[in-house]
Amino acid sequence: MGQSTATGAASDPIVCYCFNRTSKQLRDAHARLGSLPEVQKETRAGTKCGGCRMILESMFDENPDEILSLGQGGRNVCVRPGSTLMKGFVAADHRLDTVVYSSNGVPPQFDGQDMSLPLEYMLLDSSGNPVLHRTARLESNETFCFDTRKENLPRPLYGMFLLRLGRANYGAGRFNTVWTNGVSACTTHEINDSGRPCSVLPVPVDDAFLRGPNSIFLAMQNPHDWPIRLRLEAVDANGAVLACLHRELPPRNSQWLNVLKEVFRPLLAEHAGARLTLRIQSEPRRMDMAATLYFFLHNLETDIWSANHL
Amino acid sequence: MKDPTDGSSVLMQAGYLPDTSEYTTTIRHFPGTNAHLPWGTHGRFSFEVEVFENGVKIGSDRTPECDESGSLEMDIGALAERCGRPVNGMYVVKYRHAKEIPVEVYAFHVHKASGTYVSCNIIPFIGDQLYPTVHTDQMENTLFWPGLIPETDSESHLVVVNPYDENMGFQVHAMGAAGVLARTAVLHIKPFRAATFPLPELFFECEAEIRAAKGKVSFCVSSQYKLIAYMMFKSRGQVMSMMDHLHNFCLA
Repeated sequence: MGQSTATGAASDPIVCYCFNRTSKQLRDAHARLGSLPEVQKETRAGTKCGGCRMILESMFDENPDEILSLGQGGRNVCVRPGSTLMKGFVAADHRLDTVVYSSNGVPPQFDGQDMSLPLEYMLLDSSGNPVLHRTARLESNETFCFDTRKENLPRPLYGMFLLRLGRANYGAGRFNTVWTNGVSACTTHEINDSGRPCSVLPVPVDDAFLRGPNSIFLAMQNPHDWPIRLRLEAVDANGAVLACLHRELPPRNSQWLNVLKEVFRPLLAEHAGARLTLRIQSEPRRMDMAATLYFFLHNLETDIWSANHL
Repeated sequence: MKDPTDGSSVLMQAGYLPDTSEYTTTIRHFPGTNAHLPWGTHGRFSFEVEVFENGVKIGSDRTPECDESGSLEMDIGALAERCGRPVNGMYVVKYRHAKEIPVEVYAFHVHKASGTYVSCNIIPFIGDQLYPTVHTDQMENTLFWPGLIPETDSESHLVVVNPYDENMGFQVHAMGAAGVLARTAVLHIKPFRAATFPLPELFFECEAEIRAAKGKVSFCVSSQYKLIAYMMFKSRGQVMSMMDHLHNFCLA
């Protein structure tokens, strides 16, 4: 590996790492040669691995050599009409707090472009009622941060965070939700789709797991404006359904379930030796009825939490 | 039934293999977790795994096939340790699937001493017809991570995986409200290797600025073609509590 030290805020970012061509070099060449294909002939930028071709296309609004058209009229990072809505699960209780991050990061290859944009965010409680609703502006490269530890919120709170960025694409933003108890931190990301109509909690639970230090929790959210119904099936290694329960989720509803206590532990008392997983299906099984799901593991001995989306 | 020889039915993915003396690493996958009905009619699924240490392949194995009613599982740590010693490296998953079915493949790392259980999505590095728009909607060589975790005992590490048989160059950028705070020199990673970088060490020259930003700092990895990058949190006891992938810069 090379030196892993920071070099300070260099003003001329590299665009093509294959041939070590910087943004200024390429812009100067374009001013002199007049077209991107000519720039590529001279500098060879974008002609090896191809990873920077999209950047070249956006820099000069021309299709580079050996790249397919980017579609109707081409795309450009400066285009920002419309908006993108993202959402995530927020917990604020005696065990966990939540920090939500997004970013208006401009790719370093486009250093200097103004991508300032408006944003709007809202926190809903478990019933889908607004707890807060704010607007702000996110400057170029600014990181958005919302921290339940710094807010005067009702507790316990299990809810949904909605973030609307004032542009058509995700850019660097997307959305990371961090859950922390001060001892550990875990995070996952969210985008604007709803989830899947069928998911499997991919943690096998058996008697050995029960004897171990971990608890399992499931966060279930309805991101739609209509009610959805979930069917939770405990399935053994042969695919047999040993138990089934249902959950009704009204619009924008969030629910928090201790799966180990409510599902697995009672079942394994009846079916010793089984190896169980949990299958979560929306009824009916359609994308417009899909729930957004996260699972959490809590190590009771170390107090370390981990999490992921399903 | 899809043509099993069709190259677009193969998805290449890669992940980081933490030291097998400290962590177990297992992949579990349920092909039935897709948006399509009915189950069991789309085709067969399987994957094979190759494990690398310091760029050298030290083992490989494949799962049996299943359909959407079944599941696939492989203990990658055990596969790696068939060489007779603990291994710290990376792995490549060649996932054979029925086309047009979105997949989510999880790896699980369990810290042997404490039982701490961490899940991590494995990231594709060669797209196929499964995600045809990715190549034009996303800047596949520009990866972002928003925010740092302030006021906890967690330490952030960047994990970079090179699944190609090519040397790769990349830079890491720290971005504050005023623009790029700092960027590393061009770093290099050799084929089939993984490397981890504690962020405080990577940006020790602007550590005070990053601390003053109280978490409002984002990170970008710009690379030669598509390297795979994860952010990993470790608690104060140096136990991994999270590993999640960075995001492409999305134009769509």
